[in-house]
Amino acid sequence: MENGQGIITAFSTAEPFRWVGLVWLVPLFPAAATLLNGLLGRKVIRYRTGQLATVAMLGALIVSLLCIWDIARTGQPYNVDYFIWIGVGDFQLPFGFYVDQLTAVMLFVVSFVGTVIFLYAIGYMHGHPGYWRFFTYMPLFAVMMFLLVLGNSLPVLFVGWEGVGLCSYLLIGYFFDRDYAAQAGRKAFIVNRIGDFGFLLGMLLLYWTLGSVRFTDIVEHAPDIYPAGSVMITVITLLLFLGATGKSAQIPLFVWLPDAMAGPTPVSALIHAATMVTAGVYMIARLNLLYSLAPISLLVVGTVGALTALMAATIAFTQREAKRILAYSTISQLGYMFLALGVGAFDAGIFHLMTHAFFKACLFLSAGSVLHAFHEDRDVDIFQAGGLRRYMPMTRLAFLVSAVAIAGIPPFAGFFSKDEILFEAFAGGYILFWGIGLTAAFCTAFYMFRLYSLLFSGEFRGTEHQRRHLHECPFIMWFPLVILALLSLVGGWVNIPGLFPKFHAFLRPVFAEAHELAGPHRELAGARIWEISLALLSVLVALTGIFAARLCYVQLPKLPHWFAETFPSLFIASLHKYWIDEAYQATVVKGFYSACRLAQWCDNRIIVAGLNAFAALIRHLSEIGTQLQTGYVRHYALAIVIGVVFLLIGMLL
Amino acid sequence: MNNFAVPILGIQGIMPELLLSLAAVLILLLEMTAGDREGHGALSLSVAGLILAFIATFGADGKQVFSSLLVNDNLSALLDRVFLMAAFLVTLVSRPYLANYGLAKGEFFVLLLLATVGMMVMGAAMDFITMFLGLEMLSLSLYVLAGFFKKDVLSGEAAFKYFILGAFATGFLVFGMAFVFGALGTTNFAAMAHTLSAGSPPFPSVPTLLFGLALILAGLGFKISLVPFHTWVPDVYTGAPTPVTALIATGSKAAGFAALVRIFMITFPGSFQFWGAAFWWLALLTMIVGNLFALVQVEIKRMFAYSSVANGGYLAMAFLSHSDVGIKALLFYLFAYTFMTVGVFGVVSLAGRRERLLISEYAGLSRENPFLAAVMSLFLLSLAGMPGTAGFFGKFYLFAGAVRSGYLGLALVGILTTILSFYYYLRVIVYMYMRESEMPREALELAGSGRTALVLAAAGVLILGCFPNLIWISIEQVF
Amino acid sequence: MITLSHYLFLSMILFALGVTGLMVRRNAIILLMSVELMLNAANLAVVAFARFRPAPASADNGMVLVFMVMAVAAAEVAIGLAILLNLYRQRRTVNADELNVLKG
Repeated sequence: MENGQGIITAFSTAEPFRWVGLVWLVPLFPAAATLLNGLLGRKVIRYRTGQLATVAMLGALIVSLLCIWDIARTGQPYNVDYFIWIGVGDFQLPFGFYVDQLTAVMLFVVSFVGTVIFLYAIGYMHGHPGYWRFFTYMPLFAVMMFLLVLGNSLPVLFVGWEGVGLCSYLLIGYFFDRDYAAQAGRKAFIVNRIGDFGFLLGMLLLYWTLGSVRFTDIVEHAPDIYPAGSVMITVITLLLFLGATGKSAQIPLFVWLPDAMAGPTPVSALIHAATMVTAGVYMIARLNLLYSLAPISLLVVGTVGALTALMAATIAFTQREAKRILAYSTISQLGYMFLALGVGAFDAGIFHLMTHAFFKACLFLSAGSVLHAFHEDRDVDIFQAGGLRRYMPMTRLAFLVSAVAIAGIPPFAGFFSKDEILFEAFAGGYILFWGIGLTAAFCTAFYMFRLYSLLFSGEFRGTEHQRRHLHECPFIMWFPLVILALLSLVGGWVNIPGLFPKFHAFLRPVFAEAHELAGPHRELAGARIWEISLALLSVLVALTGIFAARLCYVQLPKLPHWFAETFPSLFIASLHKYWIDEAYQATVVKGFYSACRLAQWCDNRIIVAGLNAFAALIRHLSEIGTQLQTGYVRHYALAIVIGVVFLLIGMLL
Repeated sequence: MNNFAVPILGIQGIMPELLLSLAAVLILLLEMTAGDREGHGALSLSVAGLILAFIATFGADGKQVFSSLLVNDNLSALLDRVFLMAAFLVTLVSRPYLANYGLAKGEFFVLLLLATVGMMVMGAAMDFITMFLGLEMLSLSLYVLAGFFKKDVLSGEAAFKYFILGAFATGFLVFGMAFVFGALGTTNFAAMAHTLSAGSPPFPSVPTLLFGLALILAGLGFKISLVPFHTWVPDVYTGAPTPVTALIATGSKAAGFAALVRIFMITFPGSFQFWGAAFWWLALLTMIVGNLFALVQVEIKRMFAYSSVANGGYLAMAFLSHSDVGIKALLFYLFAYTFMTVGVFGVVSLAGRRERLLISEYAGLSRENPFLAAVMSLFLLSLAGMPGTAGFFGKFYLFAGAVRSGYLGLALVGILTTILSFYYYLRVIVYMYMRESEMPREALELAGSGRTALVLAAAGVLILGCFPNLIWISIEQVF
Repeated sequence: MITLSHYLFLSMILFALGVTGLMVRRNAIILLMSVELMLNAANLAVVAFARFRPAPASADNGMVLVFMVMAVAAAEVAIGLAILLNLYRQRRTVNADELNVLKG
């Protein structure tokens, strides 16, 4: 290996200059911010840490935009190796970046939403103890997220993957003097370890069978090495998907995300809604070729996505806390993205990823400004709120726009992306997925407007003391809200089917090969009449959801009482607003507990007992062994002599 | 043959050693004249000497100096850097540690520097004479350092055991050297290799040479604490002042491996067929015994002592691989091992005004001193081989090297015992983070140099863990 | 005639005496003496080899080794005695069997 010449060649190629060659600056900006804030934040920079971090993010955004512009202009992916990262003999793994259209989309989402949220956080975190610590971890998160999306091989991606996880735990446990936060951090850590185990194993298997873990090599060699539908590729992709379910909070590893809301709200918005949790979606989209070679894995991905979308949406019905509802909503929307990936509509999944980042960040930040008004940092009970539209008009407007967007009403962003996923599912012949998705769409509209109504409509139900302190958030907080709300409105217009399909055209080179492999079903897409009627249907469903929510929580607040008098059998259900919650508790949770108990029983009887016996044996051996260590010099000398004799015998005989 | 034409320019070949010796002399002078009570002067001089020596190691030109007694090649330069780094970190930890006991005297630093010079001479030796000289310089300094706490019964006992057993092992080593000299008629490594390759058979017979080599292997086996030559390790590590323990565990062990590589891999590459099988068993035993015995320890230094034995076993496995990758893995692991081991012993040194000797005493450290608990966790995770830390790549290369040389079984045992080691490493983390301390203790104010040492060691662990190639590139240049 | 074998035999016996002494004796001073015996056995072997080796033996650097071992052995004894003296001050004994606080 030439000593570090890789670095030099990377920067002095004879190729013509490309703006995307500056991509290394993208993670460098936030890295510098982390370093400065971490070293000097506590004593020197103090309350400027927030501004410093935001400016660094802005720098990353500008460079990202240059890169994206370059990619859009030339259409050529950019692959660069900076230095040999790990090298043993003939195993050489360079550390490098890969920028193509998919990366460009992710870069835009991360840097743009990141910048806006950093700006918001300056206001939101103001006056918090450890302000500088927050603005040390946040840019670090950005660095790791950039590594994740830029890495040109799975190990580099994995570094980012672990890095964002680490920052996530640090930031969930930000209020580490509080027990629930520390616990939530721990829960996230443990659940993600299970996922990472799958990821690592998948990566190892891939290396073992393909001989490389670089994306360019994977694209080049995978179709030759793995016959479509072979066992090995199915196992690899399923293992990698297990990693994705951990990071992106899908069944069965979703449980950590609602608890992760213990972190500060900008963290929830950036990490647990807009960027980190989408890493699983990105990873599968990046490896689209592998997945399209494994139809069974794709089916699993789609099924898990569909079920998660529906399940999380129904759970969101009955939650009392604003951020918790949004967390379940995030899980549900991520489910949509996996559903899209599962039916082979990778571009639709990425499209939804982008629009979701806009409106979900906006929703979270709005919730954050409600929390701000309540002087809370954990969460707010929506039954103790209400009528906030009078006190916080900007927040309400932003929330309303993004809620309409997520519900899927045209011309807001969510409509275009969600409807496309549903249409792709239908067109691909996955009618069941489509049905589940449509039901989930109804649920989404319902719980979102339940949340909106209980927060902003009606009269304030909190204490008088709270009411007097209600106020609109400062400019530095509502300005980001406005930007995100604007994007929630127009963000979907980059891909209007038939009229302006720019987004898909942009992404086409990335997924072309996979689409070819995945199936011929896309021919149905020509049937415009289907597309329009399905779109109308889903809009209708969404409107029904909204209407039902408004009916229950605004127009007819006495509706439950009327139910109670007319249908005594339903009285209990309406009296206890948590009937579904309790049903869920009784069936799912109890069932889960019984399953757990059963598992635990097996565990205790067989595995633990076996392990204990083994551990006891080891411990026993260890105890006996250490008794050899008598403390007498002559015994030690004897041991040495035995060793010498052994060596002499070994060498001379 | 003109052995008396001493090349005057040879001086530049021993520049690092000279600089360190000079620093040692200056400290002694300072001690005599100025009365350096708190050891600040000695610390500054040591640090200056070590840094200058470190810079001087980059002047390696591959030449043999002083009538071929020493060689100044890439291998010795690389090893010098390991020794100097270990000594540097240990020096930084030592001053606050000693000041805490009111013993921050200059002679401690003098001995530490001289021990380092001994290691460097050993790493650069091309002759039995210099190798023996280096070994003794290292050992004699360490014997005294182990007994540095004159009032402390444990320190005295540790020094005694270390001395007697060390001298015993040296006896075997010298006896072995005598026979190898007898067989080949020279004490110079290059001349020995030349004699053998020229086809002249050993005098009077091959067994004479093998007898000698076996005894040398045993003598060096003591230094690298190979089972069953390891018996002194737990007692000495526990009794010696903790920074001294750190130096014994890292520098001294690295010097032992340096000598092994020089003699058995470079001078007598053909001898492998004779010692390979016996050494296989010793490496196996070392990995098992080290990890197994560490499990039930209640004292932290004793636990790390056994852990260090186990790590010696992993290194021995790499040495046994005698392949290109294996030997590079050995060098890489020496770097990684130095950072993490000095790190853990540094934390143990500085964890409290009264040293925390029991593992249970680490309960609640995360609350009392989050910094110490955090770096300690990092070092422990690295020892356990967690990805992202130096230990991960260290083990990765070791096992890769072993597998490549066909030692699949040994690598498997290595991996299994590594898994066993999670238990005792993670136990300390559990104590630090999940148990409350029963009696809060007076925290030792973490003085600047101690903190610097731990930060540097942690940075080393992380940098090697993220960018192993930074070191790997300079290792590639060695062979 | 006295051959190399005689010298080597003597050297081996001296060495074995040293090794045995270290394993069976308890007085720390005697342990120290045993170790010195081992070193001297090695010196004897080196000198004998240098004397009896056929040409081309560069016997002189073997002699240097002997002198080096002798010098270092003196230093070793000095340090050993200092350690023992300190030990005696602490515990009023030089019986190696009583020095086993550290074990396990």
